[in-house]
Amino acid sequence: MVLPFFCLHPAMADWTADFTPPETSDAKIRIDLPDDLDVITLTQLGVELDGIDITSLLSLDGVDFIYKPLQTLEGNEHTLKLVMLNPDGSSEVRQQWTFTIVGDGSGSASNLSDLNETTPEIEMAERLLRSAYFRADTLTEFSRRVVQQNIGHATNRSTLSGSGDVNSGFAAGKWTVDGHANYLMQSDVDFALTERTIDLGEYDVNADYQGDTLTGGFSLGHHDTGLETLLVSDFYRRGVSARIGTSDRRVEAQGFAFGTESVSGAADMTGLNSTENRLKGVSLSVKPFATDVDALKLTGTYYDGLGEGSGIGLSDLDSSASGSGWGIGVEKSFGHQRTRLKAQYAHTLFDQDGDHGDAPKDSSDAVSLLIDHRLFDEGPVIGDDLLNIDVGFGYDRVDTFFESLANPGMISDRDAYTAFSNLYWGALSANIYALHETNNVDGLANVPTDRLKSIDFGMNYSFDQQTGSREWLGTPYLYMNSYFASLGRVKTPNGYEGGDTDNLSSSITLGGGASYDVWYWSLSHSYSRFDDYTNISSDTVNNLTGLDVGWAVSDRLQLNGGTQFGVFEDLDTNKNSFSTNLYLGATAELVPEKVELNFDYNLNLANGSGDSSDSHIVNSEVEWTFLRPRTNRPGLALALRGSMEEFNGNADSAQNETEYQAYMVLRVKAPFSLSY
Amino acid sequence: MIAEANVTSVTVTPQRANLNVKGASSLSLTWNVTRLEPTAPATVPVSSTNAVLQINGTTVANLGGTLLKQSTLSPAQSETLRFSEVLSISASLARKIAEAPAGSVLISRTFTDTQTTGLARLSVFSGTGQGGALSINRIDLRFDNNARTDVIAKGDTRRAIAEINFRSSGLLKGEWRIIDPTASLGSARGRILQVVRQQVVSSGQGRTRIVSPALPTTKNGLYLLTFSVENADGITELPVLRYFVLETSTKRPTDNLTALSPGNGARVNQDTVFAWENVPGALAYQVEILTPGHDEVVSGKVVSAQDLKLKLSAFSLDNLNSGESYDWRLRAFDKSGRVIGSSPRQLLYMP
Repeated sequence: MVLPFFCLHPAMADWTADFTPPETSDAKIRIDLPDDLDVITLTQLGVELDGIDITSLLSLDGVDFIYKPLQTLEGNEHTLKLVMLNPDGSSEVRQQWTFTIVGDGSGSASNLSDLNETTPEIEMAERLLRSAYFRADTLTEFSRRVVQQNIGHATNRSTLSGSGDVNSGFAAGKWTVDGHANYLMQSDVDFALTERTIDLGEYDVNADYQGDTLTGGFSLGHHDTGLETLLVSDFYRRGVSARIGTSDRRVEAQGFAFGTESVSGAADMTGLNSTENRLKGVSLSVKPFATDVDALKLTGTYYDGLGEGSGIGLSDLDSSASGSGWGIGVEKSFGHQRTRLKAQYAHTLFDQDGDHGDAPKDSSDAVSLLIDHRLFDEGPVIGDDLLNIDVGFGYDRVDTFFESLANPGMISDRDAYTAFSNLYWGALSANIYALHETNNVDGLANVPTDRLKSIDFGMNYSFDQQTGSREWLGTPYLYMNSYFASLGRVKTPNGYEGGDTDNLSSSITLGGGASYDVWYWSLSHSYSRFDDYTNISSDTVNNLTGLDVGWAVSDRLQLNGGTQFGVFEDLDTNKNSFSTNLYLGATAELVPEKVELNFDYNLNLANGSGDSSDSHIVNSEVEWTFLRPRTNRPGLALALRGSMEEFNGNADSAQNETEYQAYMVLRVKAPFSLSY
Repeated sequence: MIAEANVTSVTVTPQRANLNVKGASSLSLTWNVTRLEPTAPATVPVSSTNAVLQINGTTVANLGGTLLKQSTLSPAQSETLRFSEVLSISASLARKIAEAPAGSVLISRTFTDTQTTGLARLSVFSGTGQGGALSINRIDLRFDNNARTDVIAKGDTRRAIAEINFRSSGLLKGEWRIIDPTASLGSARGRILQVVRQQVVSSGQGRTRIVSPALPTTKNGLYLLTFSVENADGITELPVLRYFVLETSTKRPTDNLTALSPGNGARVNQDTVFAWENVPGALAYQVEILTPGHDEVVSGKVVSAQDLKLKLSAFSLDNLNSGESYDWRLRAFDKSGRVIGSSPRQLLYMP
């Protein structure tokens, strides 16, 4: 239901527009303009809905503006503005309307300050509960393999499989709670996510409190602390964390405990069951002097724990490691972040084979400094487009044995100077990055010191939508990425015979594409060269070309395809290998909302010195939906799906093989949704 | 009468080896033992109890096990016996080797045919990667929303990210491989989704991030995805991502839309261009300017999917307060009104 509210601005000049509020939350919005409105005035009008300029998506019905909202309008108050654009670049709101959409008749929220001790408990609870929702999307499949040939080890002939994704949450008073979980089901436990037929995949629960002076909350399940420091970075694991701070963000504190391995399943709900794979830590951020955008911010972090693989994830290090560390960071900016400074120091104790191993516990340090500066306070306008240039410098020194269980994958053993610049000019963006880096930071006696010097350069440009004779080009874009790297020896220890280092790497990738109406395409070519002047490794050249195309033939038929062709040349042995990949796919709605077809064909060819079996793979599915699912009403569909893989060993006929399999599938699709 | 055979020479390949500074390593060696039978025909055992790691002439550790082969020779006949082994070097030994003076570390084996002995040794050094060639020592796979097990809406755009740590330099040869739900999980070898050839360099240890093409989400069911790579000898099992595609009524937005400009923290005015990369299936793109840290949209602009850039109108800028900073992001909508793309939040400043 839609309630027209009021009209703020009556006519300011000699004409007025009328607004007809949409009849439903997904109906079109219509602004009735005077029939005799001249075209020039029409082109000077803009329309804004809830702060979003929707002018370019307006369509004209006579001289009326029509707008079809991209999404269903939410059940609350909305503001529509009709704006006149003046020739001098300024604008003025000509008319403004406010209307309310009441989604399911439940009405808009009342003011919490109205609550008092005499308010009935149920009413109080209802009014405290600002909103609540539950959404679940599930799919369950019963599959029966009806045809098979040479497929070897496979799942059971009949399987039950499926998955679901559940989201829920509510807002009550100053608390907001959101939760998300998914699950996978597979009756053949040999191929299940865990050893259970049905098990939890990943989940997270987040509760946030937003008070007048304090904020806080806690998270459980898969999440990230949000910290980006030398000790903690890119650390998305299952665990628990709690946070508290002041509303002005002057003080923010966080405590966390995570498992160091990425886990699925319900067996270890908190991720903290294993004492051998667990870390805990705290962080505290303080803005001691001010809270503005440029304010000085100090951050301290501490962690300790145990983890497998030396805390670096999937690796060749299979021992259990122990580690701890503390760090401090300083951030300060000037001129509304025109100049930004960031400095970090961290100290770690890390035993790569654990407390019971023979390797020593290493005490290591890391330092990181970064400064970037925007060259122009108000960038010059060149060719109608604003020019902005950022420049920056960095220094990183990370000891050889620096490791943190909460920053898996961090590169240690580097003493690096970097300089970079980013340029933005209209739709052109470009960046350049220079690096000077040496290793053997700890000065180990049996290790040579090598030096890497590299320059990366990249750029992107998006053209305007083409018109006239070039309309078929649509909206093209171009990009280029390149780098040039020289690796050499700085210092060779006396008596060292472990080989020299002297090589040159270069690479360039050129690409582009366009989208036009129902077409899109993209094309890229990469050239990489490696020259090893010590002749330890072969000199190599690699060329790789890729093309992707898509065509929405109609609302019911989409086609897409792509190909890659690669040539790898070993310049020392004069052996070349070639690889060709081709993909063709189609999605068709054979009977609207009833029968859908998916089909794809894949060709992989590898020949030359890297000869291996050619493969042709076809996947296809036809699905007949005989009961279309709706929210809170399951749907049923029957599908026939299968694949065929043909391998051609070329010279080795023993590798010739054709495998195929087909299934009948009964599908139950059940979406659920409740909201308050 | 005792045969008087001779071990005439023992050699080892390679004669020099590089070991990683950090962590455990394995070292593949081949010992060649040549012996001569000068007198009577005989069959004798040729053996070595273990390899010896010495630093500055002091034995630090015994490595490997007993190598044994029988040798049968006629008078005046000689033969070369080949013994291959893989020695495991623990993290603590690797550390001792790295800290030892260059040239002072030797691994040796003494072979005997019960009457004579012969010895061979190789020099061991530390360095960037074994033999200086590119080696992959870590692959961490995740989806672009950080998940490793996910349920994805049909038609949604999702990518995977491979974080790869490596030693030394060279051409990384990898493939994104996928098994579709049309095939039985245990039998299908999967198809190549994309070939990756990327030159990587480091002064010792390096890291690179490889982003997959948009993953197929047109068919309901379970997909398995992995990134296979050459030169990953130390990695015994490749990580596999699982995602299940189903038709959803809701979805969680993901940061899968790449904004090209403006840069983070840019000052915004009527000449500022917002540009982004195409998202297949998009009907429209919307720039949204939000209050920092919150989801309240204070301004923005929507354009059709034929545009991959826009400038804000004067009246959109009028919604912003001078001297304040805001978050901004891009969202892509499909024809059903679903959000099929979203960019990470960035900062902008209204002068």
